[in-house]
Amino acid sequence: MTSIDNDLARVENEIARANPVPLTGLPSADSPYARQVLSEVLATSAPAPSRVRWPGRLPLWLNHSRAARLGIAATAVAVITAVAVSQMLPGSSPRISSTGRHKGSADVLTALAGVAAKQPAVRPPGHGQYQYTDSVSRTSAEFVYRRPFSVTFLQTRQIWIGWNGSGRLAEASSHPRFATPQDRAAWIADGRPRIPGAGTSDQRFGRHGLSDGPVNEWKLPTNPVRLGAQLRKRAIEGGPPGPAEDFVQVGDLLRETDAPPALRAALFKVAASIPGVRILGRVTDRLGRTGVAVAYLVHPRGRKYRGMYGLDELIFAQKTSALLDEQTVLVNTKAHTRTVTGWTAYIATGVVDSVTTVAPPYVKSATSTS
Amino acid sequence: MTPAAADRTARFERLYARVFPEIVGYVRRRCCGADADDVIAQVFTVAWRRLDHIPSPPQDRLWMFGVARKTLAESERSARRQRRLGVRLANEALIGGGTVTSLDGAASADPAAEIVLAAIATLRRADREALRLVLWDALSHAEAATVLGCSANAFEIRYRRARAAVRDQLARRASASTSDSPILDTAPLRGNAS
Repeated sequence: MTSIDNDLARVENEIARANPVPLTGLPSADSPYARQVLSEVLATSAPAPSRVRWPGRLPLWLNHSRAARLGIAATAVAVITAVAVSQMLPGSSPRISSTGRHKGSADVLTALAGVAAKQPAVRPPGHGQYQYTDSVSRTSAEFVYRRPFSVTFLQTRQIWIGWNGSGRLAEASSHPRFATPQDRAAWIADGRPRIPGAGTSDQRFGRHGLSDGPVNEWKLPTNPVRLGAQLRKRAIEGGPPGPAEDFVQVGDLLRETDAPPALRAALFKVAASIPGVRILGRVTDRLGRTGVAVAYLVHPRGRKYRGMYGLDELIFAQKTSALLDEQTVLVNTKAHTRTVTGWTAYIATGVVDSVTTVAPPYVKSATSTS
Repeated sequence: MTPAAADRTARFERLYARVFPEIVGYVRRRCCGADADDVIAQVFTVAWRRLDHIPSPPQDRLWMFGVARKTLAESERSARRQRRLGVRLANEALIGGGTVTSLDGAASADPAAEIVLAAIATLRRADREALRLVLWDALSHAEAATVLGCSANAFEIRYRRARAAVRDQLARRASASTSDSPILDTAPLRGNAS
């Protein structure tokens, strides 16, 4: 055996030793955990469809087994950031249910659809071109040792996605913070393990390295009814059923994409048809830009969560329909807390000719962010 | 229960008993906590609903790995979609509710293992998976190729490329490690960001 062979064998051993879940110690099929999973599975309907379908469960985080784990944790959560959306301050009651349709939301979204439709035509990235997006976010990273804990980072991100999924991703992370006091407590209980600090990365990706290219926005229907039907059938992207996922997928198709104006217009109209979507009004985002905030309101199920709800918020420029900012907010009306768990502000997007070229910003920022 | 239904259930339970530990290991090596539990339940739910389409042993085991792989990919894609409110809510409950479950999928706190894990994390997805299927999930190269849906030759290329890349990274780290600075300080934040 040569020294190179020895080296490779040693590497294989080291990788095997780093196995986070060794083969020994896995739960057997007659363990309580296995029996519980089996009973849950067998309780689902058994017919074998001709094609794989989502099994009809509720969105995973809303199903009963998960909801049962939802405690009153949010009551102790500190507010990380506050945004001037006065009607959503702690203590206010949501004026709609997650199954209702908010009066006026359709008008605002239809107006945004009109603006989107009038935007200059764009072309998808051709050979040698890239869809560029520049953003800054407060993003959460989950670390799992003996206990999980979350750390948030301020992250700048530039991404160039080529026509074939190749491209470049340049990120810089700084200002790590524990997401909540509970996260810090978990980190201490874990023996204060070292965690990634500030750092940068700049990576190049080959074909399909950044995207599998599952969605070609130029081939999607621009008729809102047909588009909505495809989206709800999860024919565009997979995923669980339900309006919450509908809203997520509309957001997916509006960010970091080369969606043509007609499709963007249709997406706004689809959003208008999603129950639970509401308009929060005119707001100023973290970069000082004004826009209109659209949100999806989520009520966790169960008595324990009475008074708690969440908001997925998207902020659009009223003059261009561009997605400027988004954030996720947890509100506990009993504890009078409103927690922004993460946000992203989009600085620029556009088609560029190389991975070293950038697109101009949407709007000049009025302020910096932190 | 009709005889046909009973037979169907028995067939599923036999499959379940055979592959459960392996599938649990596969999922927990790539996904942690409550998310892993959801993925595991989802994989077996798919198998239950598709029982009549599952190939005979021993191919059924690889079919299950394939379902697990696709289910995980779906789960990861969802997780990558910016911040998912639901995930965060679930995390809050897990952390703040004092009901932290046993995390068999927890990453090792062993510094040497973390260096290896960091090196693996920088690999291309397909290369990374080639290494993990063989060295963590104990599949043969031929079985791993089947799970990944590629030819044996293509798999060998991936596997060797990945192994060499990890070796080179470990060698570079070894030669550069002149201080005891945090191991992951310069590692890109990938994979676990939500």
